Amino acid sequence: MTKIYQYCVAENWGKGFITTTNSIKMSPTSFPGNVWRIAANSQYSNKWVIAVNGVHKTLAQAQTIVTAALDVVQDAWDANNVDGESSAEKNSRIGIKPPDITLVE
Amino acid sequence: MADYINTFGQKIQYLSADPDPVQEGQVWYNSTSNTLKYRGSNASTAWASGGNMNTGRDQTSGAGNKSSALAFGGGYPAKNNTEKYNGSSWTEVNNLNTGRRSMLGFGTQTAAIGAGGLDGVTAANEIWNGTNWTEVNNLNTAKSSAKGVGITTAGLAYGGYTNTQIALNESWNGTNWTEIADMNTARAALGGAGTQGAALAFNGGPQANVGNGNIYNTETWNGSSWTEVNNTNTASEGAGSSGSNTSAITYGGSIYASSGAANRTEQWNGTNWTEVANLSSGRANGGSGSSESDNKSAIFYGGASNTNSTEEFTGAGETTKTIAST
Repeated sequence: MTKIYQYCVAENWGKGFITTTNSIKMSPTSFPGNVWRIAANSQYSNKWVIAVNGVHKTLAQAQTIVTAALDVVQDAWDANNVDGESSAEKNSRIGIKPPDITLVE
Repeated sequence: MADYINTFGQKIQYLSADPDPVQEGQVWYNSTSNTLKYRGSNASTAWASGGNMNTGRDQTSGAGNKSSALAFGGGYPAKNNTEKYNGSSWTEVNNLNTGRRSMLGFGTQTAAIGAGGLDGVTAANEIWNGTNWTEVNNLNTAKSSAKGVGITTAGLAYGGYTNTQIALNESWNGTNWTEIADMNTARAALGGAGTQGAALAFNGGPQANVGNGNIYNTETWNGSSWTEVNNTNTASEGAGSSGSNTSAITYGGSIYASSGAANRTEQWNGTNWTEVANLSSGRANGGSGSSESDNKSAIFYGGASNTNSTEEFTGAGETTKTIAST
């Protein structure tokens, strides 16, 4: 099956990390653990990964990183409680529990 | 240059406000914001990364625009931090007097209002003069997750949460808040755009982050009453929003149906909402630039999980751009 997406790990340093041209040409999407999904089979995408000092990851490797990063956030969410607080009040205070994420290629 | 001279005159115009109407190719100096601007065009819509905030924060509030923004408050726990953005980097400035999250905010980077919010629901109201926050007269109703639009001498605060979502609408004249005509649909963590006399309300839910019962409804305000108009494509709450009541934009948000934060973006043309380029990160409860003039420019920063990242939107078509600021 032809891949639509590829993955890399890169730290978003801020301004210039993703330009409007980058967005138009490779539709980047971020995930926990500094994992980025970008267009596959694209020289443009590959050049961007190099330009941002990114490291290519397979789907399985990227999924492992995302799941590990989410586990930390979800555990912290589970442990953050106030006596007598309802679930709605907790959601209002710290946001809904970050849901699991399943990556696709 | 010869064409420019023939069209607009030999010298760049020195104006206290942006020209209206403005022509593509026109260049002027705005003496109020101390910015050199021009009217250019973009071929397509896209988000790009902006500078990271010094303090990442959920449920933050904001004022200003993409090249000159102000972020204040947020939490949990509640923060009083204020930062200003110059189009590339954020700088810490003087704090709010009262730290809180889910405030309503509006105005510019040099003249803003921050009101209501949570650290215990409050009606507290502060005004920013470009250097310091000063406590001024409170809202009539203590509330969080309301929407604010306008300027420091003419604002509007609508919707929000007390112990339930509300439709209340208050008008600010620079000194006092006055209750005026309610929205048709009660909602909190809503989107909005426009001015005191011509506003837009859309999306929202029962309470920030609760996410059960997101709303599609859009309403326009003509200065005296709210009228239902066409819905957004996606029901959400906690989304970013800015623009006018005839040219607005909304982005991100918390979507109950998918149990997560969205990266969708929709533009309003005065009649309908249309989906355009996505954010690179799904996020809710970030800060927006409340003084953006239309749906071709936007900024979204902070948000859930106390992220510190910023994204900047550039829309297709004519848009006013800043060449330089002092």
